[in-house]
Amino acid sequence: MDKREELKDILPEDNGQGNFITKARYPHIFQEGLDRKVVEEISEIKKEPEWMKRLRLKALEIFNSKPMPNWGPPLDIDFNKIRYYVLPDEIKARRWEDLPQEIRETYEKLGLPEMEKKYLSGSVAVLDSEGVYANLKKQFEEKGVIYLDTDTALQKYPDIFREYFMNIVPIGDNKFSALNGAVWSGGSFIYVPENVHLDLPLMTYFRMNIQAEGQFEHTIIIAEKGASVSYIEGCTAPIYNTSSLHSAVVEVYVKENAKVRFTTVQNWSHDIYNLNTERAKVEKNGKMEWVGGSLGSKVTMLYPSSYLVGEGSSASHLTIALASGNTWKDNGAKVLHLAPNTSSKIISKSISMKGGVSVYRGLVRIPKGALNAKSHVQCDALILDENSKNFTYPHNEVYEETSTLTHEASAGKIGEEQLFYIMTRGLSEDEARSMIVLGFLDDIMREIPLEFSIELNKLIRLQLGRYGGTG
Amino acid sequence: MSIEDKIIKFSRLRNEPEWLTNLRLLNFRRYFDIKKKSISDSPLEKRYTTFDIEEFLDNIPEETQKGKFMEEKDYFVIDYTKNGKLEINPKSLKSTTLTSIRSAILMYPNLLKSSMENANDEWTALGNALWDTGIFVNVPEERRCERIMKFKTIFPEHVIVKKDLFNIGANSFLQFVEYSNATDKFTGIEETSIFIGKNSSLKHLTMIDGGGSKMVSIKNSHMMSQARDEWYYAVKNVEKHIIITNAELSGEYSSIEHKGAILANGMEHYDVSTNIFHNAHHTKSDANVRATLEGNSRAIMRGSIKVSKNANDSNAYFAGNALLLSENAKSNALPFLEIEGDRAVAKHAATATNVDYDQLFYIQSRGINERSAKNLLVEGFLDPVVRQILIYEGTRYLIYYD
Repeated sequence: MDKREELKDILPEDNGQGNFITKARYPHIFQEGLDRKVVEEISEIKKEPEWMKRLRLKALEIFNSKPMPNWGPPLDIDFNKIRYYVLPDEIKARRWEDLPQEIRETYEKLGLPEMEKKYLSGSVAVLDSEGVYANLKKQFEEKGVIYLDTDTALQKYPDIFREYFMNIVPIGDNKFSALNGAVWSGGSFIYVPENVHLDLPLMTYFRMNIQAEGQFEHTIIIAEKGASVSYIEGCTAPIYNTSSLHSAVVEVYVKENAKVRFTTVQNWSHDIYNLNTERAKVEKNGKMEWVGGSLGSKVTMLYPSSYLVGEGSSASHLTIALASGNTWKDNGAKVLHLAPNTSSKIISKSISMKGGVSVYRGLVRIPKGALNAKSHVQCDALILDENSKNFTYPHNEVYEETSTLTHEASAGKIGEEQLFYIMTRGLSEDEARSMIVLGFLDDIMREIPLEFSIELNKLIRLQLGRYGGTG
Repeated sequence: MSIEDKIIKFSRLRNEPEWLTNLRLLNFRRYFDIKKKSISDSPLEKRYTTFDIEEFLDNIPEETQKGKFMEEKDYFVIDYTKNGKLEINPKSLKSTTLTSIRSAILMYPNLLKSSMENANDEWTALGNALWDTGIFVNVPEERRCERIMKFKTIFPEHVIVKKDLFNIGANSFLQFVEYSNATDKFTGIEETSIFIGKNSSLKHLTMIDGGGSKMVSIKNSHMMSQARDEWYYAVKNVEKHIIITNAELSGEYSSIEHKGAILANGMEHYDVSTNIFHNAHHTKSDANVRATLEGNSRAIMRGSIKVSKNANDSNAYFAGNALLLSENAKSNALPFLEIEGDRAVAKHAATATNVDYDQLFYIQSRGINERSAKNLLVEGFLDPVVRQILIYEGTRYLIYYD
C-alpha cells in the first residue's frame, strides 16, 4: 500500500468508516444509556472481529454486576444519562462561540496558536500537521514501530493486539475498567520492536487528526527488549467535552531492559468525572516512568500502578495535582514489588485552593521474596486557603526483611517566613506566593517536557491569578 | 437472649443507675453503626480487621469481677485474679483519690457520662458498653504529685473489660507508671479515659507483658487548654494486640507526645492506631510508633491526624518505624493525614528497614554474640521509649528479646 493510501485509512476526512453511518441504521448508539444493543452496534460500526464483540459483551456483564466503589470520593454518576459512543464528526462539530467563557479566556491567556485553539475547542476537525506527521511516520516505519490509534491497530495487527489487549488490566479489574472494555473507542497503540530507541517523544499532539481522543480511550504501549520510548498525551489547555464521564484504560508493557516514559497532562472542564485505570508491567531491568499533571475535572480518581515483575526493574511516579474550586482530586500511585532488587520512587505534590479537595491514596507492597527492594514515597501538599482540604492515605506494606521503605509527607500552608523573606526582596505578596507555589512543584516540573512545563507553569500562574496572585 | 438483653441483665445485676444502662446500650449500638463509609476507606482496609467479636461477647462473665487492691512496697497492686475490695486510701496519696471506677458512678456521674459519650472508634464503643471493673484516679486542682504512682495490674485468666478513669484538675501534675501482666488465657479490653484540666500535665509510662494473651488497649485523652499529655508505652508478648490512641486537642496550646515501642515475636500481631484530632488553635502533637519484628510477627501502624479549620498555627507529626529482624516479619504503615484549612502544618513519615549488617558485624567484631548485638541495635532503635523506662525504673528488662 502506498503511503498516501495508508494515511487515508487513518485520517478522518478520508475515512469511510464514520461518514456513511446514518442515524437510521444505528438507532441505539444515539440514545443515552447502555445496553447490549449499544455495545453490539459500536462493535458493528467499527467492523470488529467476533472475539472483540464477545469481549465487549462480557465486559458489559461485569460492569453491570459490579457495585460502585464503596470508598473514595463521592461518585454521583447516572449511567443512564451518558452517551457511550459519539461519532467522531459529532464531537468536533461545535462553534467557538459555544465554549464556556472561562475556557476561552484560558486559551487566550495561554497564547495557544490560532489553529490549535480551534482544534481544542472542537471547532475544527483537522489540524494541519500532515507534513510533520507523514515525516514521522516514515521514520517509524523504517524502524518497525507501530504507532496507530487503537481501533486501526485492531484491524491491522489483530494478533499482537489480542495478546496485549486487557491483559495487565483485566476486564474485571474494577467497575470502570469493565466499562472501558465494553465501550472503548480510540486511544493510541504503540509497538516498539527490540532495541529500537525513539529519540523524539511520541505525542498525541502530532496526530491529533486521528480519532484518538474520546471518553473511553484505550491506550496500549509495548516496548520490546531493549527498546525505549517516551509517550506524551493530553494537553495543558482545558479540554471541553460534551460528556460528563471520562474513563480510560492505559496498559504499558515494559520488556527486558526496555524503558518507557508515560507523560500525561490533563485539564478537564469542571463537570467531568475522570476515572482512569493505568497500569504497567515491568520485566527484568525494565524501567517505567509515570509523569502526570492533573488539573480541572469534578472528580478525578487516578492511581497509575507499576507491577515490577522482573528482577532489577524500577518504577518512578511523579505527579502534580491541582484541586481548585469544586474539584476532588483523588490521585495516587500503586507499586507492587514482585521481584528481587526492584526499586520505586513516588513523588506526589498536590495543591488545594478555592475549596478544592486533594487526596493522595497510595500503595506500596513489598511481599516476601522481593529481596533488597527499595522504595521511597513522598507526598507533599500545599493548602492555599481555609476552605480547601488535603487528605493523605498512604498504605505501606512490607513483608520482606531485606527491603527498605521510606515514606515522608507534609501538608500545610505557605510558610510565613518564606513569604516574608521574598517580600523583603521587594516582591508583592501575590508574586511571592506564586513563586513559592511554583518552587513547590519544581521537582516534578523539570521532569515534564519543556513545552508542557512552560504551559503548565503559565496555567498554574493563571489559576493563582484568579485566586488573587498576579503570577 | 439477644446481646442487648444480656447487657441490660448485666447492668441490673450490678445495681447500676438507669442512665448508665442506657449509655451502655447506646454504645453497643454505636459499635455497629461506626463502620459506615468514610473517605479514608479503601479496598485494602478489610484485610486488616482482626479479633473474633462473637466469641469474645459470649465469654464475658456474668458476675462482677471486682479485683483486689493491695499496697506492696512502692507499688499499688491491682489483682483481677482475686475478688476483694478495689478501694484504697493510703496516706501517701494525700488528697488524691484512688478507688474503683464503681465509686465514680456516684461521685462523678457527669465525668463518667462524658467519658462514655462520643466514642470515636468501634473498640471504645464496645469497651464503654461492656466495662465491668477498673480504677478511678482523681487529682484535685492545684495538686502537684511529685511522687510517681506505680501500678501493677495482674489480669485474670478469662475475659475482662476494664475501664480506667483519670481526672486531673486544673494546674495539677501527675506522673505514673503502669505494669500489666497477663497469661495466655486472658482476653480483654482495657480502656483508659483521661481528662486533663487547664494548665495541667500528665506524664505516664505503660508497660505490657502480655504472656500470649489477646488484648485491646485504648487510650482516650481529652485535653483542656494548655494541658499536656506525655505517654510512653512498651509492649511485648501479646498474641494479638489492638492499641488505639484517641487524643482530642480541644484546648488552646494543648499538646501531646506519644511514643510507643513494640517488641514483636513469634506469631504475634499488633495493630496500632494513633488518632489525633487538632480542634483548637496552637495545638501540637508528636507521635511515634516504633516496632521491632522478629519471627512471623506483624505490625500495622496506623496514624490518623485530623486538623480542623479551627486549628491555626497547629503542628502535627506522626512517624511509624519498623525494624524487620526476620525474614517472615511483616510491617504495614498507614499514616493518614486529613487537613482542612491553610493554617496548620502536618507531617508524617514511615520507614521499614532491616538491621544494618555493617553495624551488626561491627558490634560482633567486638566480641559480642549475635543475639546480644541485635538486642543492642533494638535498644538503639527503641531509644525514645527506652530512655523513659531508664529514667523511671533504672532497668531495661522489658526491652530485650529473650
